[in-house]
Amino acid sequence: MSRPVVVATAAAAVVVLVAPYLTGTYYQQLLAQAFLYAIVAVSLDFVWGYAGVPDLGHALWFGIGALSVGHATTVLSDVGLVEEVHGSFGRYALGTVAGVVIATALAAIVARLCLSSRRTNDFYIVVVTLALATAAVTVYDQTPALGGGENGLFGFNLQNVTPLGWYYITAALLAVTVAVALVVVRSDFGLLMRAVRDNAPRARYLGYNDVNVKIGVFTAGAAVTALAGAVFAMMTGVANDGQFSFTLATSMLVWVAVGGRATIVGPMVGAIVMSLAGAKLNEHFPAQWTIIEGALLIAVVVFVPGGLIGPLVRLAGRLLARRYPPRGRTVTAAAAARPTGDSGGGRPVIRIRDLVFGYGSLRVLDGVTLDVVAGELLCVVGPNGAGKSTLTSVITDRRLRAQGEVEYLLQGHRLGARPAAHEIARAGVGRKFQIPSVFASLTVAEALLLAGRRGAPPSPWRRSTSVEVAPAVVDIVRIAGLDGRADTLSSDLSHGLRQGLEVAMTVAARPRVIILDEPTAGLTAHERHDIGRVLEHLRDIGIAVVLIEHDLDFVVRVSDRVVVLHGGRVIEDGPPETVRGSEVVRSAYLGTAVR
Amino acid sequence: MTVLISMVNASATTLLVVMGLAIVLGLMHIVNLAQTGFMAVGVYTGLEIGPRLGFWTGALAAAVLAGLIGAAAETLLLRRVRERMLETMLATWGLSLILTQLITLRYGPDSRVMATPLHGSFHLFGTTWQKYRVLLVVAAILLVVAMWALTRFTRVGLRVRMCMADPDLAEDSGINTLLVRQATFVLGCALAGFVGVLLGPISGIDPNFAGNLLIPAFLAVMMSGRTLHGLVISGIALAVVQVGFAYWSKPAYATVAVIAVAVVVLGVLPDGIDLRRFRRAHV
Repeated sequence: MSRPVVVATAAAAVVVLVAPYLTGTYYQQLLAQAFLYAIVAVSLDFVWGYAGVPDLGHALWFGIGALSVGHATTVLSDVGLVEEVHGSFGRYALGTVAGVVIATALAAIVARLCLSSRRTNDFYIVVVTLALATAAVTVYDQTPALGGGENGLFGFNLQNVTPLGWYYITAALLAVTVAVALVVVRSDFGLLMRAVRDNAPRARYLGYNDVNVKIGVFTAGAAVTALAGAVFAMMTGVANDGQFSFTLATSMLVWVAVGGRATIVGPMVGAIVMSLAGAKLNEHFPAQWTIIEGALLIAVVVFVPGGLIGPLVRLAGRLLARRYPPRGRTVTAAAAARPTGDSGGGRPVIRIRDLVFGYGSLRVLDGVTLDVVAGELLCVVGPNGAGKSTLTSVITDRRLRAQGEVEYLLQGHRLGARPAAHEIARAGVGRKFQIPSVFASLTVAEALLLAGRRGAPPSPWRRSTSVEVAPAVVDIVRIAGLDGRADTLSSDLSHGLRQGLEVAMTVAARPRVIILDEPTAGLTAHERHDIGRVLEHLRDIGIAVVLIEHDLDFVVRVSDRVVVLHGGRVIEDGPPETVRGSEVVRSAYLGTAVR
Repeated sequence: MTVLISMVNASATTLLVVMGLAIVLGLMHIVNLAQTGFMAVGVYTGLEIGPRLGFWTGALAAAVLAGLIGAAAETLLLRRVRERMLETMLATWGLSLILTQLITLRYGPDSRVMATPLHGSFHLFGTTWQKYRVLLVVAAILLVVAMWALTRFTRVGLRVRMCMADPDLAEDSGINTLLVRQATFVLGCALAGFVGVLLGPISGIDPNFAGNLLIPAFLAVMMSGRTLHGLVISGIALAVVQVGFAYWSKPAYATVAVIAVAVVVLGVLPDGIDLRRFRRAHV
């Protein structure tokens, strides 16, 4: 840790330790609640800010934790009134553990059902989390035997802890939560979370299971929130429908949005400040406070998307960084760089037989048979709509329902009958998209770091500072003009530089097969020439290079073999010269119907 | 038989609520979480004006007021977060909180009732039908047919469909997409206000009276796969599930069942209910 961070942390610790002696029990209780809300805000920031899963019903997990403790420690009458409180240690512990387990299990189910790779927009998860929170309140109110119905449960607070005790307990819990959160978001796994949030498909085709990352973070967030809810219930001795409610869930969203998404510290401060202000205002103007919350939510979302507190934190960080430059990430060539491809050139690595794919009655691929060979630069050409991009999609993601066979002969990797995109990528099939696809909030070095791990789970605490990549990647970085830009954000790169970065990322994953969908689009003649050299180099070290391309001159110059697709079929397959002279190809390109 | 009637009535209610949501979502990609807020604005306008100037005047006034608020919200807020679905959802949710709370401040949280404009009932098929509820069913059918005819046969509908299919191309073809979008949002909000009044006489009215209708409505939109027939099918299906569960099991489980049905349907049909897909697949 750098010196200013140590100083700031120590100052905060002193303030937190001394503060309760300057105020009365009332404020100690308020602050203890605020600290628990801050834990919730940090967990929601993880889920929403870093993993990009908007959980509009985050209060559900809090309520489950609280209700579980309440239910475990009370005895209810038939109509749901609290008759007795059994406050043994075992019951509190059981209630807490059960709450966390139930919330975790339910969150895992919800996430599994809502976060599939086929659904890319937020609508689905938003509606389902919203609906679940609403349904939870209804079920709660109409099932008095469970949690006392509309009256809720009360009077089961832990007896032998003073408000000052709770103050320090919650402060310690918050400190641990924030410390762990900061370590994780700064770690290599933190990079993966942001990568998945920014661009899930790109992460998937680098070998990462983006869906599982989201499910994992969502579930962990629910578990932490349920724990906070359980502690809240032990402290206040209250469990009711309000803890599940939409109102509380909205407050949580407001804390994170006002604090600033993806800053950890911002949402923490937001939750403490707003819940204190809310508690004070709520005493006098309950309805007005909700209006203020609504207005704040709108104002922040529409006018200050970065939030109010997070940017201040970042600004402070930047000012400090000027005095104490942080250790950046450097990109270096790996010392012992093994050849990435197969040594035995000329061996087929992907064998495609009679591949058929269509939407409804439209057949995009109509029986494609093709071998991709190691150490060969294969160009796939064809007019628009010939099925080139579809062919790429179908062989890099076998979950797409295509008929026919695709066999992957990649040494050391066994793939199932219908491997998913990330499994194929992990086995060594790299893919470069047609439109440059990068991770907006990652720097060049960070993107290459993730790519280089090729789907291996990154450490949730270690923060790599140097990125070792194959020499070929360093060449690409230089040729693409990315030299000296290791710490530049991908979103700040020009179109051409993004193309270069994406090619570099794809190669950094040490693929055996690399499929590039028009990597030269939007590049100058000079840059094309350089890209051509890179591709030839990749072929020479034994990688099977598949290039989807429009520019026939470029194709003839670089390729070893050319396949012409037309109407979803292979109409030519041979050396570039033959294909160039072919009558069939000429008529296909000029638009005359073939056959 | 009573269950069946309840199912028909609930279907009508869901469809009335869903239609405003669907046109806004379909055209603007805005999930209007303020729909319930606008319905509440509508129903309280109806309560104020109805007794003095008549129910239908109240309903019209509600539509106008909700439309005006919608126009302001679109101009001042939503235009700035265009095409960013999550931001629009949060902004409309904030708007909904504000509208609901303002109403609570003015009228209090207590439940109220609204007089029905159409009294009485009649007998048919051996059971009793309340005239007003039948009117609602007719209104729902009319709304669906009108929506279909509007998009299918009129120039306005053509323009709207162009904007839905490709906003940039529509803009380049000389269509003022900004105006079309604003008009759509205003129409959606006005419809919400109007429907709020329509549902007034059959509901206990409080500032959050439409809150329970919102979830089935959103789930229906989600299941619909962006087609009108999908919307009708899913709206009716969810209403039937809800009423059925409430009747044969506990009402509390009905809300959970509705969510489960929607999630399962979307698990099987990720693109939602779209009959055209089936037809094409069989060719």
